[in-house]
Amino acid sequence: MKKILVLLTLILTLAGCSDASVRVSNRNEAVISVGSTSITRGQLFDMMINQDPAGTVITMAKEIILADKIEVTDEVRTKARETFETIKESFGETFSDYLVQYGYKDEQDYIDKALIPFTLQEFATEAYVRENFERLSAEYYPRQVRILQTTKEEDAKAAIAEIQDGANFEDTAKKYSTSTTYKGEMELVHKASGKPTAINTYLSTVRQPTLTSTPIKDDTNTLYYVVQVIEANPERFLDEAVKSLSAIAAISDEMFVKYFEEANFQIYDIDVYAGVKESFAKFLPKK
Amino acid sequence: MLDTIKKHWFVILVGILFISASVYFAYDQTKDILRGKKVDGKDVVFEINGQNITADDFYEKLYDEMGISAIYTLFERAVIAQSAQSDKDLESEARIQANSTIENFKSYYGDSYEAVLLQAIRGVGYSKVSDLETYFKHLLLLEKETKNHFITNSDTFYEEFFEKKSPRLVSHILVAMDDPTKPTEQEQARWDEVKEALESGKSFKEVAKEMSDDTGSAANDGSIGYMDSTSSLVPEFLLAALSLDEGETSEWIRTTYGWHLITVDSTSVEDLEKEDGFFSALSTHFPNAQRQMVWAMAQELNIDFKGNSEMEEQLKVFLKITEGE
Repeated sequence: MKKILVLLTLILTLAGCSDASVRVSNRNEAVISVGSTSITRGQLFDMMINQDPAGTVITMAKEIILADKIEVTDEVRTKARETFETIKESFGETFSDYLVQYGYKDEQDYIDKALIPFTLQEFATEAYVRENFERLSAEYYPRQVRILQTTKEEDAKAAIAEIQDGANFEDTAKKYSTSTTYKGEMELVHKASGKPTAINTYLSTVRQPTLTSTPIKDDTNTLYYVVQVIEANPERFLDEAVKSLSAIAAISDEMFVKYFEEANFQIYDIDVYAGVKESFAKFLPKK
Repeated sequence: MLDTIKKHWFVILVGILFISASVYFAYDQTKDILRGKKVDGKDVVFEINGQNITADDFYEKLYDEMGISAIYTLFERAVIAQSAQSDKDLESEARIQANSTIENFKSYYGDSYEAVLLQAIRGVGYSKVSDLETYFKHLLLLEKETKNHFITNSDTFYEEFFEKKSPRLVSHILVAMDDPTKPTEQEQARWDEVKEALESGKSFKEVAKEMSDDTGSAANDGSIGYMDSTSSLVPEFLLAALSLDEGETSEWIRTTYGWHLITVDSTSVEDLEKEDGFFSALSTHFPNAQRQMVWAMAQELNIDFKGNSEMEEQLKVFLKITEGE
């Protein structure tokens, strides 16, 4: 009887359990004191973990995954250093203030903690794109193209006729194009390049180099496009296509979703879990 | 045994059903609970690739990224709490701001406001919603001490600030127009009325109050309050306002809004010190002044870095404190 009562008590106690909430060890240890007030490890931890718990966890988790997948080679260090020089130049004199404000001890600290992980992610995404190139290039249809834009259909038709007769595309764009964006220069575009839907729809169907035989109309406004596809087979401009696809955030996300699942990512703090669920639910284990 | 079961079968059946219900109840209550994990007695925050990141690991990572600014936030709070004097008005104002914040969160987030507000409060180092009043009390005390710091050390701050920023209190009268280069008949007539009112002897303040099309400043007799050379004003207005001495009034100035008559009400320290905008501008111009004030106050209280010279150095770099201070 006594055993049954103990068992029942345990069961009901279990029912009263709450979600897990982590605590740092030695939480009452003072880090600094001023006057009669001490600031403890626990206070600091509770404050810091509530700044952006989800973001910090995901960043750390990504770093662990990347460290496992990509080695920090000289190539990585060189690339990180190049990125650093670009950023430093853009900040100018305020760069050292920026480092202090964001808690970096010095320039090397910034490279090690921010730019090396960033560069590892770039390398990892490129590797992922190469491994899945056939599928991703079918999904995003990268193409080398020239585009000009007109406000009148007759101008677009005239441009097409002149190009078919052998006129230079860029010269024709100067003559007819009303846009400073579409100057007829060769560019690599894909589904996520931000081009109008009408252009994307056209490009998704093109498998060979070609010129639009009729103007492409943008149904959201009164603009017309002339598109010349220089190269429709991404294998022929592989490195450029890989680099371009690697910059797509959705592909980088797709990569990490896969890696998080493979790595059996688990969270053991309710506030962190709630934050990740709200902002990064795709990385949580699927139940 | 069998006889016992036969004799008390009903009680046993009820007992079994009760235990089953309890087990199911416990399962149902706990199935969605997030389980914790410990490794070597330490709480684990997350696990990935078989690697357990403990709260201690997480603390080190967070400390690396934001430790010094977090320490400063708590440090400042401790210094102000022990050094600054509160009063009933300040505490009442803190209460009003706390309640207003809660209402704003309720209005924006609805039923889930408390969870969002709680996380925001924890992010600034407090632990419960009721700490909001304490938080606002701290901000108000800090603001009060900073003002006093600027006033007490005006010799250090004011000369440079006045020279570089030309602070002043300004009023204006606006005659609004769709195209100020081509007033309509109605707009011209209105403008003429304003001019006649001024010429008839009515004061600037009266005309501004009764006739200015900038209804916000009209309610304050035309005063736009504090401004200086960095204020976000249309260039023509800014240039005109900065070119005037105290008591002077401009010619009619054209901007995209219409035609303005601008007057400088005061450039005196005494009047400027009554304006919150003046002290905000001082804080912006001298971004380290407040932190250095807190550091000086802390020296009076005695700081103990617990032997952590690296942290002491980092805090001084953060506060831009040079050797010997």
